[in-house]
Amino acid sequence: MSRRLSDYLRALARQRTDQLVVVTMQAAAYWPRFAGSDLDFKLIGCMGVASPIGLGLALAQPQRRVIVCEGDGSLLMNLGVLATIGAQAPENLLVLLMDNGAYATTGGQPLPGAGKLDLLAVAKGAGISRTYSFSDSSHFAGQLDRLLGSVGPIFARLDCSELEPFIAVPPEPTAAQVAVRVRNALLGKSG
Amino acid sequence: MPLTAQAVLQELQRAGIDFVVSVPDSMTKGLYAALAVHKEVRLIPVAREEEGMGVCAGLYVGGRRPALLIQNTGVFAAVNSLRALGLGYQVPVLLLVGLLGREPQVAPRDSANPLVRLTGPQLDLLKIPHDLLEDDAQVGLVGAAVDEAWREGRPHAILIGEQVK
Repeated sequence: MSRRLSDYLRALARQRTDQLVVVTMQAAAYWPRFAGSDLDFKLIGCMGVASPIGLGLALAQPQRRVIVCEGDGSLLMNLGVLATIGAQAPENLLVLLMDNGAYATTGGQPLPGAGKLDLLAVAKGAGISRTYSFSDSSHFAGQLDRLLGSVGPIFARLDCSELEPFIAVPPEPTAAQVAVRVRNALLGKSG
Repeated sequence: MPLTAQAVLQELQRAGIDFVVSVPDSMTKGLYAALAVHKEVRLIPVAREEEGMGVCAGLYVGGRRPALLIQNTGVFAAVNSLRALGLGYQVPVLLLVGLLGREPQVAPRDSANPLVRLTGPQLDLLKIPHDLLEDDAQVGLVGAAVDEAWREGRPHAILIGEQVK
């Protein structure tokens, strides 16, 4: 049993096939340890737009499953996106909320409302009807297959309260390279 | 000549714009209303302009041609995502920006209103080119902006200085 971000990501990487995966904050730093695909959309320097980008990708590519590994502080920056997701209701979007109650990339300062804030309730209130909560990475691993096969939008809160050491996001590929690579992979163009 | 939703919409379609992501704006509400019932160009209402720029980036990387229809206040609200996604990820997006507070016949740079006066310089700072659209005769600026944005891999703004009828 674990509440570590890296264990949830490892489980996701094991079961991921052709889904597009958007990663931000510490998920962007840890994800390359487990996965390496042209369909990995790494975000750096733009906290707050992971779910919006995932929504845009899901709308653009309705046949492709899009998974967003979102941070709680990051989501809090543009909380309105939950209303937009609720309204657009893309069936191919899965948002995984890496919930640790802290700004892990800047020293672990608590989020406003940490301990009280219930982002799962906010997502439900925004009209996202399929919501799940996991407090153990092995339980998540066991349910992931079902999550990946279900009609979305789905919002799943992953309890990541077992904080791990901060690591930096690898500088390569650069932001511009990521955009080109993911776009080419989605549109079937070579490098 | 007035500026009409019909002419702008026709030009957007000609330029291949297939999604318009928007926070509503009073100058461009006529265009918003036309988009809301349009059969081909899809309107995606969002809550915040920074969020809207994120949605546009996802649409672009997914192979679509998005525009972001916002007010000049929204340019300031979206600065970090315009910088990160526009300059960093090199995402082309057509920005359609209503110039709220614009005084008739006054060049935006000479406006007494800081909101109007500073919109252009704010875009300059972000290396986002911009053109002023005031009547249907200039509507070709929109298609040219799309062409340039996609060629250069960066946003391009059209500042809408008249009420869209």
